[in-house]
Amino acid sequence: MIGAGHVGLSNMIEGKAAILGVGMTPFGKHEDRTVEDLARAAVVAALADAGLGRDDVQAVFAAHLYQGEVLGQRVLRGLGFPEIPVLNLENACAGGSSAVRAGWLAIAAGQYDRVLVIGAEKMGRGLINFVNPDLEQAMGITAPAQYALAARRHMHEFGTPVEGFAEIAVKSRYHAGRNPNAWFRDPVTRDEVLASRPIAEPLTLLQCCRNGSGAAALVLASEKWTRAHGRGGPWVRTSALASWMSDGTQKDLTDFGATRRAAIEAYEATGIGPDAVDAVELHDAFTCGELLHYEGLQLCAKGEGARLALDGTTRLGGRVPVNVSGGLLAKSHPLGATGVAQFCELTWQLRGTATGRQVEDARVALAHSQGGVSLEAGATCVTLLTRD
Amino acid sequence: MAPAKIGRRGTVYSATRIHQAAAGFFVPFDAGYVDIEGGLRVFAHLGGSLAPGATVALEIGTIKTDKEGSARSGPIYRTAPGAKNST
Repeated sequence: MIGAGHVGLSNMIEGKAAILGVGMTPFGKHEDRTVEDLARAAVVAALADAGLGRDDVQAVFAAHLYQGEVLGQRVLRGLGFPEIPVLNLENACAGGSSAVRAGWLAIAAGQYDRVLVIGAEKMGRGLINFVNPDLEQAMGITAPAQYALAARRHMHEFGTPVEGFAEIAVKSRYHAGRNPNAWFRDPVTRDEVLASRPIAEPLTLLQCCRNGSGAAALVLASEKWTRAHGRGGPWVRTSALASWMSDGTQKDLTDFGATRRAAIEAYEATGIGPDAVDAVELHDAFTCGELLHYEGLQLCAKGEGARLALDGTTRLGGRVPVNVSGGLLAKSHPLGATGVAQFCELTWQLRGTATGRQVEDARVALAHSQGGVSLEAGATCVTLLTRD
Repeated sequence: MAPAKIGRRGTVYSATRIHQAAAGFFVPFDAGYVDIEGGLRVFAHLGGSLAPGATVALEIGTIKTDKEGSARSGPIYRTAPGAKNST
């Protein structure tokens, strides 16, 4: 097999694309709205934020998971867009960030000057029903169980206390209380988190993100066009995409997904190291995931994730605030929209306009999202952004 | 790929008790990854609460019911004969 193993650095490219505008709907049940309606609201907001019109957009990248054929065209038709190229994109829960990456790459490669990225999802209730259940799911595994097994192994190897996971849910609500776009904004205590209904031990209900519906959009532009029009960043600097595909080897559950490989690619492509990152939005579908991603993103050494949560390092005011938006835990998780919404928050942070929750002097930000079907197959995307 | 023989015994790599699952499973149930003699790490049901490192052996038993309500069998790893596992 050609290319077997982790060749790495295959997508290591640096190229600037400006984020000219962002927009999102708050996430929630939205039972009375269609996915097209939600997406249109986000698109209109992003274009207004960018000061551009529909005729300025040259191409569109639209992420979703369960919304049927040509979602992007269905959304844009209702807004009177011209018949520009639209790529609809599915990469499980990493679809939104993968669409941002596709847009960034099209600009970095010189194909377009201005593109629109959309992420939208209308969700049902309960556990996610996978379209293609694999063997592990046929045997009864669930997404929370996957993370719970990672948590248990981490506890076994590193002595991680359950309070380390619980504190992440506490932090999420603390941040969400400062974000009008978040859904679950009431504070919770560590005891309340641990006493909530068990889902897959040690994970309890308040440590699991909820299903929600919503949409997010952003407008990206080339550096040349942006400078020529007297505009500026924030800038997408690079975006690294990594995959995992079960090959029969024993997966290390304490190194969850392909976070570490995607992060290394992003850091090496830009020369920006984890110590320089001021704000992070990462894939906290479950508290345990956030803790493991601290380590995968190299915000700390392996095994030290709980310390970052417990000593306040990742809380607003700490050294590297994580999920100041409230993250998936407090915003909910409309699959295709999730990754794009992370860029809304980080854009506001890098502009210095995240009123009530601003990370002081934020210059460098990192977006991370991850999705897939248990340990069998998945995708992780890590993107670095800078203010200047 | 080729068929390979695996042993009946294994070691629990990680374990959880699942309280919310797809239709047909009897919640709560214990499950986890088991490292089988010969190198595979597989997801399977466990017979009771077992900690990482527990020595287990394969049995076949009912793990769920199908849409018609009939019992469906699958692998269940239980404490191996003679093993003293902490829970």
